[in-house]
Amino acid sequence: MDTGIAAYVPQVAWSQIAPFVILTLGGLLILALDALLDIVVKGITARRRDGVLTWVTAGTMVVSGMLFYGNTIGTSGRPFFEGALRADEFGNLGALIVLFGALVFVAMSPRLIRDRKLPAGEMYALLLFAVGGMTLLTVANELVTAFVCIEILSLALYVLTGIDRRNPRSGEAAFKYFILGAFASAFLVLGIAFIYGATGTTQLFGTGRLMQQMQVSESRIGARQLISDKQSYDLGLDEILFAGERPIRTATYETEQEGRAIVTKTSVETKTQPLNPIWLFLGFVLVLAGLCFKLSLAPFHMWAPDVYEGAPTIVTMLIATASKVAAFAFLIHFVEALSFWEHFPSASLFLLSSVAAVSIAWGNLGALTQTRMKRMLAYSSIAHGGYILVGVATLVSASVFSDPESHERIRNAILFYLFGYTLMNVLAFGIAAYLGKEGEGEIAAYRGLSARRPVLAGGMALAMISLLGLGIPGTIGFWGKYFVIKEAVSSGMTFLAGVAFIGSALSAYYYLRVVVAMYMLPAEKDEPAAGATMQPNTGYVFTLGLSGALIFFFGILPALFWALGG
Amino acid sequence: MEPTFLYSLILSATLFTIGIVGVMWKRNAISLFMNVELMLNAANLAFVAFSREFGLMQGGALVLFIMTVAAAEAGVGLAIFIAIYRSRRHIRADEIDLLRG
Repeated sequence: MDTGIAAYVPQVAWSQIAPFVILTLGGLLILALDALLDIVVKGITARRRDGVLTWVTAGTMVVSGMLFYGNTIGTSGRPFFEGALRADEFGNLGALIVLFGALVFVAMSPRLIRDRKLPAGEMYALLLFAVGGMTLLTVANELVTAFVCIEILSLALYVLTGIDRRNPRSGEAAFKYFILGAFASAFLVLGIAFIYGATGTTQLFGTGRLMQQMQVSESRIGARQLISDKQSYDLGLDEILFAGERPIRTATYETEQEGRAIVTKTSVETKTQPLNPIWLFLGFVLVLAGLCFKLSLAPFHMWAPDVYEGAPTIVTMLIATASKVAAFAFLIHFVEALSFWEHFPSASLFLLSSVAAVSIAWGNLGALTQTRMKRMLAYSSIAHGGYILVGVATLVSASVFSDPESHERIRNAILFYLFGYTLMNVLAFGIAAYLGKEGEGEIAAYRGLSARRPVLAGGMALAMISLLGLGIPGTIGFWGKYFVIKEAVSSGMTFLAGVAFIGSALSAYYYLRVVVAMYMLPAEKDEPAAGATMQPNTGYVFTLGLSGALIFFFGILPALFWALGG
Repeated sequence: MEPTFLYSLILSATLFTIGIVGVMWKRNAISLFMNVELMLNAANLAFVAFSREFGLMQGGALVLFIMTVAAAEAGVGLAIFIAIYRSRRHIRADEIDLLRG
């Protein structure tokens, strides 16, 4: 029956992959411009050259973002690009949030480049590659594709972390980030290998219950052959786990039409009971461990405080927002693809819940004793990762009890939380970077800021109150937590909801401490006026203002977010 | 289950464990990184073993991607080590501790 290799021409959906292609080409263009501008344009100043690079980078992202938005409308949620990618609404909106974070980075970076004398070309090229990896990760539908995306974004972020070479802390942060990141990626690869070994595929979603649609043509002992009229073989984990069968061999049938061999049928041979739950569970645990590192969740969070403190502040912002949003989008697709298997969800549910609870506890307790701003924000972001993981665990439990309606609501709640989390961190890190050395160091330096810089103090207070979330409505952080905890309670995850609630009550201490320092404590005598040396650029001020406005806006009208998403 | 499949998996698990122990115990950054590479290649071995056992070509092809990524990682990693070495004149991981943690 096997006819060997057929003349199969892959179909490339150019409109679907255009955003990623543009980002990558933009990165290459930046590298070329950086090298050529000095030669081609005589007597160009460094400042002008950096300005050109900034605009090209921003333009690339805006074009890519517009294409993404175009793809979001009327997205089919079917795999494309040989099943390696799959753009559902969640993935596309996640990619838009990533691009927002990256655009903020571009708006804030000219000042950093000027102050620290950093190479603009390298920075923007790395940024574009990182963003390409992140956006691709949000729509990845194949485990090795996802691994490659995670590595692309990580490698770029390692270098960005260490890009301030005159500062030994920056290099040290890059060193720690790299060693621990490479260590974690080995776990990720082993996990992928185990999942592949258990199921025979690395694809997450197939073309929609293919197994059920296939007609059984021939039954043999221990194996049966399934034939579909689909041209390509792309069974996903969701289908294979659902059917409990592992494909072992594929073959294609072709007919001759007008002198060309055309593939008309694909057959997949499967064994009936080959799924080994142990391999699959091990694979799940290892992949989760690798992702937990990227998300700085509890047992794998050790790198976060050091890297957040050592990296240039706006790079920290990128690590805390964009890379986390992308990794969460992938994690959600991953657990959704796995959760159809009937024996598996209870164990994965337990695992996700415990990681979430430990992250919340560890993040909040760790932040209590921190005296430095960026370390405090690092622990706070560990805790916030835990809150989002509460949402993911709720999502799994909704899949277990097959409740599609609440499934959709929970996904929306997580997306809203990710958006709010991005805005709050953009504002907090943005203002910390704006204040320069004072803002990035000890929290004590914030004393009396309201008298010196009333607008910045107000913005920081808004960011802190929004990060605190529960207790004070009217900010996006409140609604994010409210939606996630509400879904957790209504899905019966009361324990996790309680942990999240207690955790955010604890967080009041360290968030409000900053507000108290700014508004109620007098400045120390020997302190220089914060921000005296700064020359803000318009884009910087604009993005800070925009983030603050959006935190307020969606804090008052959270429902409008869904109207935007379509 | 062929014995070669089982042996490959045992070898892969052993190499991976040696890698983990090495990352925990070694102090020199280069040794640390060598152990990480050992772990990655152990995972690759498991990938190929599964692929061979099931007669699917896919797994063997995917390993090539992982190897390419590992090579890129080595490039970036060694560059970071050199940057660290320039400012400190050593790359002993436990003495790189300006940031506490």
